[in-house]
Amino acid sequence: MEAAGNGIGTGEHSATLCAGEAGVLHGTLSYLLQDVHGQVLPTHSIAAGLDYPGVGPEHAMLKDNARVTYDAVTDRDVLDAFEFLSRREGIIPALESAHAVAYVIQNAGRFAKDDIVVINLSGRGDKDVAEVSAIRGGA
Amino acid sequence: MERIAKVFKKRTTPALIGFTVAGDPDRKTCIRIARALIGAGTDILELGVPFSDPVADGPVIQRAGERALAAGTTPDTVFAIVRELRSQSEVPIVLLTYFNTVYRRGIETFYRDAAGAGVDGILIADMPVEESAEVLKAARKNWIAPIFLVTRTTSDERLAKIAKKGRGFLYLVSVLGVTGVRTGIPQEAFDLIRRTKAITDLPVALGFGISTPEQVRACAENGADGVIVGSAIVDIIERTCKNPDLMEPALAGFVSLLKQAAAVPHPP
Repeated sequence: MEAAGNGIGTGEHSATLCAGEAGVLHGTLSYLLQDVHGQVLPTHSIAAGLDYPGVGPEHAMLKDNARVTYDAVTDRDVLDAFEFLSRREGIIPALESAHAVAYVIQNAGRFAKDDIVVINLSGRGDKDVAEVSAIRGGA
Repeated sequence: MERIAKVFKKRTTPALIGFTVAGDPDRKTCIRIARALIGAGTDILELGVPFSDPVADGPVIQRAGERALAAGTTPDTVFAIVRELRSQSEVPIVLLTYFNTVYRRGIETFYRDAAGAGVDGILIADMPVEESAEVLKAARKNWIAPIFLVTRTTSDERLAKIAKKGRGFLYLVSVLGVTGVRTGIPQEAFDLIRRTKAITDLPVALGFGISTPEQVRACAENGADGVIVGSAIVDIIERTCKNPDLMEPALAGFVSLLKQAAAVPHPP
């Protein structure tokens, strides 16, 4: 799940696989957010760990050979998911991982009741509580 | 490519290689800058192709790149600048670029356009020799010298590999770090000159952090075939670019001082 930030249409995002093109940055050939001349574009995401114009080349390969489908969710949906999981389960997901939670919430209708859905909460959200509180105006 | 070879042929003093960022602060002024550098005796002109993420550059050249990009500089602008300079001068012109700029345009297209404009050599700062097969092919085909960086941490084995692929000259990086003015030159940089010369007959030029006549003289005394001065030139441009009439004499005066300092025959 990638960071659509304020929306891919706004240009303020980090959805490299969804909106980037092949380029070389920091020594890797992968998807890259860049302009027509190859200048790397500024990025935005509420999750600091996703705020990068490139992406690991393994993901580029998995996208190209169609073994993984990549999608993106916006900052706003991520904040909702962050709050939802925290209140519902008492588990505070990192804002990075909360992107996956947001995607599953958005796509809940696509799954049957007995389907098993795995979300990898790859990081903990204690680090993000202050930021979320600042954005949402406290709890 | 032959223009570079000619500069280094039968030299007894190091060539002065002057750097500026193409399109800084804008296309027209950049051409005036380049002409001032050439007019004052710069033996080889290095033009930086402005890039959004210049990982090898310190703050002075970073800001120059930002000015050039803000003025709308693209690779087409860079080639147009080269073409205009080439119409009046036979001074070798080397482009310093980052690989994404080349890759995005298409490697062969970039080299072909560069050759058409009159470029003699291309150094891609983030292109290791191990990954350079396609670039070398395009360079060979278009008679452009592929110039590589060598650093103090480059092993002898790798240095030999780089020397085998490189043409024109080898660009020796004097410091462990980015471009920018520094005091003195570390002894390790002079050791690198000797180590490289023992491995290859390619001319060796020392760059990064060289900004004063004293440093240029020290390079000459330590056997450098070329000395590259960048940030110090760009610093003058930054301080005077609002007033090009002051800038040209300031640049010419600085280059003349460096040339005088370089006029020390290097050891056999």
